[in-house]
Amino acid sequence: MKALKFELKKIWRQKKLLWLLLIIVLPTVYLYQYHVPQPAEYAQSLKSKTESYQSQVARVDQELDIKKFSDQLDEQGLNHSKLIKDVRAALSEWVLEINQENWMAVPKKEAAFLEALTTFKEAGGVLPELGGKELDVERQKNAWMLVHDLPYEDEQHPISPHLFMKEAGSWLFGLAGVVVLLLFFGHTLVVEKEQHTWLTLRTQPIQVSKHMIAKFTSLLMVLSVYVGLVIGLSLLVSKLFGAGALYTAYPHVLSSGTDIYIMTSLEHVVRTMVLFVGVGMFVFALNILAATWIKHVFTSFLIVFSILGVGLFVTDFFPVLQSPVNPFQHLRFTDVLAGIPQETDWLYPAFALVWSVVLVSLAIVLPESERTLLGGRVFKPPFRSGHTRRSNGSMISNVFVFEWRKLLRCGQFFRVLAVLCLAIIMSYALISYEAETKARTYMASLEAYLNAIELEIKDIEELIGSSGKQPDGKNEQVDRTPEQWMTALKTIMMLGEKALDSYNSGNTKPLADYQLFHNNMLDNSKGPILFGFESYGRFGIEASIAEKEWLVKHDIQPLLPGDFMTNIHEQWQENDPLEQVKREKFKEENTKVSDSGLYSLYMFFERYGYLLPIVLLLFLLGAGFAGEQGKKRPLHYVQTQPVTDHAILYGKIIHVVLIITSVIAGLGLLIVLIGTLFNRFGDWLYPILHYDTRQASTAPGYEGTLTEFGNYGFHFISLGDFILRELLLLYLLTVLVVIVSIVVSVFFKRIFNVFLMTVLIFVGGFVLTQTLLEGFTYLSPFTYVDINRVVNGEIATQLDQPLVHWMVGSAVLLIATVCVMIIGHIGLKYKKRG
Amino acid sequence: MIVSVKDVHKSFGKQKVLDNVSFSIPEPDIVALVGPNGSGKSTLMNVMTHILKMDEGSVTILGKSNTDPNIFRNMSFMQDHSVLYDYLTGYDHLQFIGDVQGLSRQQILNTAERVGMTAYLNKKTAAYSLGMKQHLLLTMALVNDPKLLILDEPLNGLDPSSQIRVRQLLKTLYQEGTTILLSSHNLAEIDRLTSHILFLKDGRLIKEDMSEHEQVFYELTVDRPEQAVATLQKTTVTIEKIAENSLRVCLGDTPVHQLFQSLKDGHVTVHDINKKVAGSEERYRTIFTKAGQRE
Repeated sequence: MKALKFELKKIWRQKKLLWLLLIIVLPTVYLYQYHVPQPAEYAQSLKSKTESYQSQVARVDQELDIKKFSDQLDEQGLNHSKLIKDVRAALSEWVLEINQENWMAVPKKEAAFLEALTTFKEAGGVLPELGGKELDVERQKNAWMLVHDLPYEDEQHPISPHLFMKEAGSWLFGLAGVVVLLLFFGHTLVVEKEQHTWLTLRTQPIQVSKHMIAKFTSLLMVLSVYVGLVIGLSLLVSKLFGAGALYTAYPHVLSSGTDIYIMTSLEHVVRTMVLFVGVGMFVFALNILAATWIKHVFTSFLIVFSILGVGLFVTDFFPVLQSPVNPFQHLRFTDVLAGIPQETDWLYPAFALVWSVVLVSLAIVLPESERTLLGGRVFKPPFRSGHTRRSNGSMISNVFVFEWRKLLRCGQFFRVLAVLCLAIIMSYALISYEAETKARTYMASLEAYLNAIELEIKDIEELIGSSGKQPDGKNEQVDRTPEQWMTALKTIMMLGEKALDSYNSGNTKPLADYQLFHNNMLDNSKGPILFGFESYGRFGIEASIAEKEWLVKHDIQPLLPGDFMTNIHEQWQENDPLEQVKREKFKEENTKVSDSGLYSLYMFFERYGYLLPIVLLLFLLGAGFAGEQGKKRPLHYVQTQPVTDHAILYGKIIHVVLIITSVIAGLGLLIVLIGTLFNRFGDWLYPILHYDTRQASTAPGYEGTLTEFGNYGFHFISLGDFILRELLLLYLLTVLVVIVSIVVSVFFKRIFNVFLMTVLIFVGGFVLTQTLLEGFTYLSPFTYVDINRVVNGEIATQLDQPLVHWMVGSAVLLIATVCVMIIGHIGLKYKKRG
Repeated sequence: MIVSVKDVHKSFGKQKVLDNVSFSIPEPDIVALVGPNGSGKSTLMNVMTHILKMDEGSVTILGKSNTDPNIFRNMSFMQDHSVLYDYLTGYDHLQFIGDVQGLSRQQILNTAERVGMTAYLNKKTAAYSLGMKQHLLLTMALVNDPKLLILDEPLNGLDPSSQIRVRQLLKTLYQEGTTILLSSHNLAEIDRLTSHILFLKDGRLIKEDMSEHEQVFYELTVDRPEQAVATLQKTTVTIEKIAENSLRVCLGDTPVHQLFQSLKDGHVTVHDINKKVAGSEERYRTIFTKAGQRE
């Protein structure tokens, strides 16, 4: 108890709880502010939804009326005509309530509409877009709302207390929350060892096990405070700034594609919270165990985050591991919470507890590394055989050399390189596995598809032979002859079989011909549409065709899987859970994966792998002056040499720039090398889609392809050029991040505060850029954090700002770096020493 | 002028740490800076070497402002061991100084030899004992052959033989023309090095107004010490009881025979008497007692 009290006192004195409060308040308020201006859009989106219903219902009603007036309706038809009028009337009343924004009354009117619609459908009426699972979801949700007497609310932009609590929880009770807690509190034991205060505790008449348990318990208490703060603040913010009532029974709908499950918002939040607390317990326990052998905070973070990252990655990849028994499965927040609750869900908290107890027990039972207690006794030979640089270089170069030697001596550099190499090798192995699996699945589905076409050809031949009619089904809206249809199917058959044969003999190039033909079949302007691809959209079809043409033209192997290009202009319904399931499936089936050298490097950017070296280099190099002040203050040793503070600053900056240059170049080369060794180098000319903004696409002299979708155009960039641009942006971004951190260290003495400020600057800058800058986003260096989306023109297109471009980005990042250095220079000039 | 400190003020927030400190060292000397814990000794040294910025005042070292980093070409400041990088070896520290100051490998090795730390030069300082760290810090301070040495607690943590060695080394350096300003709590060691002492209390230099007479005192052994104290308090001498029957008496301008006469008049018998000259301990005691009394 005394040990626990002491632990809590330390946490309190370190004022970390205040920082934690700030960390929770900022995103909570931001999230709220982000959603607040949106309610008007809600009514609008509901109106659009109901307008689509209205037009369909009106069309069916008119068709039935026409038939009725021309006496073409039988008894069932007359019944349909009567029932559709009921549907239309109910829909009108529903729309009226929506227009009047009378949200309390809307569910009742919606219920009347759904009832009328169900009656119509049960009587055999057809309304193609209002049926199936979507109708089931709507019906069940509406019934729930009526039972609980709930008003309609905007779930896309939640501002009511219960929905906002859910929204805040989805962010703060996720991986981000785990990382924040780990960074703030996770290193409680290892920091004691680093600062030798652990020896003070060890020399008290208290058992080590009690210290460990006290530390773990204090962390659990912090976890509870965090959870309480998130819930409390989200409720407080939405209550203070909003006027909505708290309806904890508001429905949270889950769909697996076949099943629907509704739970209350409160249940969902509790479910999220329980999972989060379990994960928190596990990672804290893991940290305590790691501290048994590790003495340095940085190394401890490296190892714990590596274990968590690898565990998560492997679990994500192998479905067999996705069980509550596996603690890394608990880290898959999104997937676990998106699934329908199972009877075995109680195993999550149970196993989190079991794992935590096991890990803390191991930390207690396993012998403590003596090296972590008293430090290593290592002899190191001097650099350059002890010779000094007597006549060489300026003070800056002396500082730079000294920084480099410090980096080598402290050993963290090699640990970081080891972690990066490990991450690259593991990622590559997983990408290889993914590429192979997806290719196999794709080719198997192609084979099945060709078999189906073979059967269809036989059917059509029979049809042509018997009546000469057009075949029914998928092609009913298309104007074509059976002969055209037959020719198309036979061509696809021939190309598909050729592609299959070639693939089996290791050549995938003929696949491009097959895919090109297949893509063209979807395109109205070039051939008959094979089946409906409305949600995929015209942009995707045109881009896919152009991609295959490029592949054929340059004789390049297509990458698998899928015949199409996923893109940002797809037209999936955001509010429809079933559409989202379809979208994910489509994405899964068409997102290209390859383990060639160049494409692996491309995927490193596409999947945000580049954030890992940025974060690691920030922690490795960004401590700047802060790492040398405070309790230990070796900076004073440097300052009592004939070296100015500015020389120290610039020496540090040159040092980090050179290290970053080598690390980024080395990483790029390593990824390509591994890919080349285990697969192939890759195609430099492989086409990567670049989105062109509306402004650029409609400008005179536009050289890309202007699609029929909303005046958006595109062009292709070769994979090699694309990667070079990404590498350049990554390099400049990393330099900026680390230099910002070093300059922050001019003003802050504690390393923790320096990193926190740096992270806040970048996260805050990114958020402010998105919300405040609007027309000038291209001028903000924070825009270029999302490298892949900058280089492929996605951000530029979404903002319709052609200047959000890799070249502008490079210039902005460079200028920002210089500005930050100037701030550092001036800050150092006026900074009080000591 | 080797060191000139004028009207230096330094505060941390509302707390005044140095209050109008002025002194100078005009010629090669060994000067000790003495004061109780928290009196501002380390702060004064940090201000002199511009590690801390002073709020007011000026410091000149070897004719240059202390803000000029080039002063460290001719002076060194030996700080406490918190300035060492745990993960660097002793030689790494010295090599950086060698790089910056244009010193050769041989110079470094010679200085290490002189201090007696060659055996563990290539060991990481995390594995050093306190004494080893002191050796390294001293080597770092001496390696550039400075004209002025500022040493913060140089003998702290050293074993007796090292203390003797370092003391000898400092005396030799002084004889070679190096000025040394050192702080220490070990008054006996200071006595062995110098009689030039600066006393610092609560951030102020205490003016040592001890006259030559005051620096001489007598230790008396008497039969009735309480009676002796009561009798002598009526005179102008300063008296202090130091043991059961022992008194320390500072006569000031009072002649010795008058002391005996007063004791005789008070019916006190003197069994023994020793004449002594005040060392740093006595001066410290006298000064801080007086300073305390003045406050």
